[in-house]
Amino acid sequence: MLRRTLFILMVMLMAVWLSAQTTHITGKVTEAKRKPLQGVSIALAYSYDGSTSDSIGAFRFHTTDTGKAKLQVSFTGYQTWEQEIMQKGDTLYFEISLKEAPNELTAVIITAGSFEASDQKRATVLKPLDIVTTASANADVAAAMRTLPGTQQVGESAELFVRGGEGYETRQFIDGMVVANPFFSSAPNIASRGRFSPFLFKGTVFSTGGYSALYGQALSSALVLESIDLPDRSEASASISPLFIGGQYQHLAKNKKSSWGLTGGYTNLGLYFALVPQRVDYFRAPQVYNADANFRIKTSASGMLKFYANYTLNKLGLRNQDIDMPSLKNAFGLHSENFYSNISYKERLANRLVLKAGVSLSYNYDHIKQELQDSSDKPVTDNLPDYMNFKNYELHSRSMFFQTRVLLDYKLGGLSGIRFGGEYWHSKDSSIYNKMPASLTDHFGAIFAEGDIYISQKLAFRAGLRAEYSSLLDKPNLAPRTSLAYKISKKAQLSADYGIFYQKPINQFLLFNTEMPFMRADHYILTYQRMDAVTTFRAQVFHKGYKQLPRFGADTIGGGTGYAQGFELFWRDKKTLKNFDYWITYSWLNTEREYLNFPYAIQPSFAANHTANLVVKRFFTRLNMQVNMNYQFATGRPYYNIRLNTNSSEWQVLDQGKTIPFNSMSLSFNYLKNIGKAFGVFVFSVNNILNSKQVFGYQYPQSGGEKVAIVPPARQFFFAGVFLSWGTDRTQDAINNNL
Amino acid sequence: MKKFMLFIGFVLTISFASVAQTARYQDAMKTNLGQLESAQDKSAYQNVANGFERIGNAEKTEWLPFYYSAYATVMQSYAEQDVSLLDGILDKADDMIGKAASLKPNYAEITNVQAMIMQGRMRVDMSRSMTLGPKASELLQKAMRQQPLGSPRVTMNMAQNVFYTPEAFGGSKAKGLELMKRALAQYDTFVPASPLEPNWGKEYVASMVKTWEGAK
Repeated sequence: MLRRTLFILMVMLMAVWLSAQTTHITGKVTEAKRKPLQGVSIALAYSYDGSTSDSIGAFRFHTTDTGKAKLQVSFTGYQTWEQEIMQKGDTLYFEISLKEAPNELTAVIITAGSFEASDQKRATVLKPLDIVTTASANADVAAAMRTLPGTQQVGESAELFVRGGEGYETRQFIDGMVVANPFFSSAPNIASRGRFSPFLFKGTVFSTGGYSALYGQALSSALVLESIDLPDRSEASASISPLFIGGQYQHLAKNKKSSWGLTGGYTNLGLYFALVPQRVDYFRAPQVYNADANFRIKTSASGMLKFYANYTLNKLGLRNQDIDMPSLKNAFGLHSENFYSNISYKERLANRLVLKAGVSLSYNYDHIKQELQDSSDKPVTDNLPDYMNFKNYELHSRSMFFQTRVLLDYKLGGLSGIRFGGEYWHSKDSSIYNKMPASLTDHFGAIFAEGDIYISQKLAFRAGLRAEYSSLLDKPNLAPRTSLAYKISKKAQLSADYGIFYQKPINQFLLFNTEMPFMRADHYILTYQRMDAVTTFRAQVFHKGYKQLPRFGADTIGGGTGYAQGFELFWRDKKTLKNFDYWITYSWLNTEREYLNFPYAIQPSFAANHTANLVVKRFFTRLNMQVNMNYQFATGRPYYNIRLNTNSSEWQVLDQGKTIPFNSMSLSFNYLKNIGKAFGVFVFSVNNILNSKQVFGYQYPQSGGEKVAIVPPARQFFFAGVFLSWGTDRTQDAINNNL
Repeated sequence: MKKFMLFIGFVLTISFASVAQTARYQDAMKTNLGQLESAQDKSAYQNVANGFERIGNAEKTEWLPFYYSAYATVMQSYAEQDVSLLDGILDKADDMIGKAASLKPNYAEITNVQAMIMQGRMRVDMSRSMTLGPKASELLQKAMRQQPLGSPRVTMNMAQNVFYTPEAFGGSKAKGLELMKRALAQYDTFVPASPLEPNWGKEYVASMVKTWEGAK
């Protein structure tokens, strides 16, 4: 009995003694390169005991627990380190090296060569607001992109001319689907605008080359736009300007799971042209009627269905003096209607698998009537030389474009992932030119796959492949794309991109000959980027080889070749000058191509050798005013007088030269003021405030007379307008209720 | 009888253990709250945030440790001068407040810290205030609905939001000051649901009222 009691006592004492044992846990935490990490949490699982590492990475704590335990070491941005330990009253020492966790913020960026504007992702070069606060752009997405390196100042067109490419070599994509007619139809040599308001998009990616296999049919560049999801609140808005009036209503359902919206607007430049004289005689000032509708439904926690449709009707009519017979005038009339619609659906199908699907349908109708008129604006059709007859024409051009696309995105773990999918496009273009009908129908299909593989946080590559087939050309193509990116320091990285890009020749050429191959461009790009929260520096070198470009010989064929190469610099700084945010770009371009009627390889007239931009923004908090300035400069572009020698039936350059340099300084003011219950933004802007002379090129009379400069209809453009919004924002009520 | 005694013994042991456990929790929380109150620099805030996180992870069902871990992490971010580090720090705060919110849904004090995280993120890049400002304001309105009697901390945050928002965006220095005074008054009537529940901020609010009144 006594022995038994003694034994029990012993056991109890043992337990007390054991529990009184203190285990000391000490150590040091470093990152992979043995640099100490401060602030790391060191904890024993299921226990309060633990510590935080100090400035030399050291930690020390004790526990009175005994037995087995799990030591957990965790720090934001690093993978948690765990180890089973035995607590038996001694001192334990650990040297712990934490591995960086896969993290988009610190990992190497595969797509460093493109320009992205987004609020969602943190490390982007631009913000969506930058697009609407770029002085020269007047809230036009493409015009804002023209302040970035790689783009040309081609003032006679709204299109984006990238790295020696034609305007049509840049395609726009909305939610993954290509847009057939992104710009308003316009008169020759007069720039129009993009159809889509920048406020429709939450993300914009502008790639000037070497982009993903997910996108095709763009030889030079892709402008990828991602539409917004549900709005933050219900809102009515109005825009009023001497140029246009418009209204919009956006309704967010009470449960915040769906929304719908309607927009209507009317633009008429008649009043503006009365105030600001134009060089050309507008007998019908440009007018635009537009309406759009949208709905967005959150179908589940991860599902989103979006619909957007837009209808526009625009008309204009203008007269220019004829360059061949100065006694006559060229009257150009345009009536254009456009419908665009897009439905997209996104849903997480399984833990790592996301589906993105879409359907888009668009329709465009242009009716152009061009006629020669005498001094009293009466049509002239008789007694004209042959070369003048083509100046009297009437064109009805209709195009229908349908596409559907499916993309699956599968996460492999870490940041790696694969994407694959397919798309089908159906286009039908018919035209009636002076009662002569012509039409083109194409069934186009593409399949694509792409993998992003992160070998480490520092080294990643992307490999993609795209296969396409066009029934019109009756030819397939296979386009590999690849990128490699390596992070050389915390803020700097290098990347290399290579890819083959194909595009169908545009209809203008296909109408003459469908037996043409896909145009082809091979891109080679090297990028250095150094980026922190307030500054971005980027330098790029590229070479682009062109093949199978359309040529005008005896027949329209596709044997043209060419190249474009150069380097580009971009510097953005939000810090050095207090309250100022600015960026500077420089692009050097060297390009020649055998193209259309060029007798040999020459620098095309849409390419300048040197282009530079300065963009400055500042918000004056006290004044509630944002002031934006930019200066755009480009050296002169070449111009040519190319004629067919009727004896040798060969093209000849009879005259050539370079235009004067392009200079344009623009200024815009955005003043914010509440008017009653409305939030108002007053906008005033001037393009080319210094009134610099701009010449975009020259046209040569058929008759051999003096060349005639292509100039903008007016040197300067002024804009004034007010944008009002009435949101159902309960903030003020909430404030007042608490006072 | 024997069985009954055994049962009694069992119950006593269990309840003793749980009382000990509760006391241990209370003690640990009080110690950490003391450290939180005396914290001045970012590493002190980080230490105490880690301490609360350890308690939260060990207890699993208590929301307060996670709440204080999130709050201490927000304070750590306010003390951080290098804005490029803020998103990483506030991600941690988001993680902690998320855990607190899942244990204690629809609670004004928690929603208030969520708004503070949003306000902290605006420091990284002022252009974020366009999108995050209204979101922070919405969270504060939600917190006001969740605590109809009014929490002085929610009112204080609303006051700062109103004071520092430019007038064109609905801000007002005068209304901000009014709200801050209101927050100060609320401290006199506010009674935390338990001694460990949030009751911080009075000194700060008093100092802000003084500063803002002086700036008038």
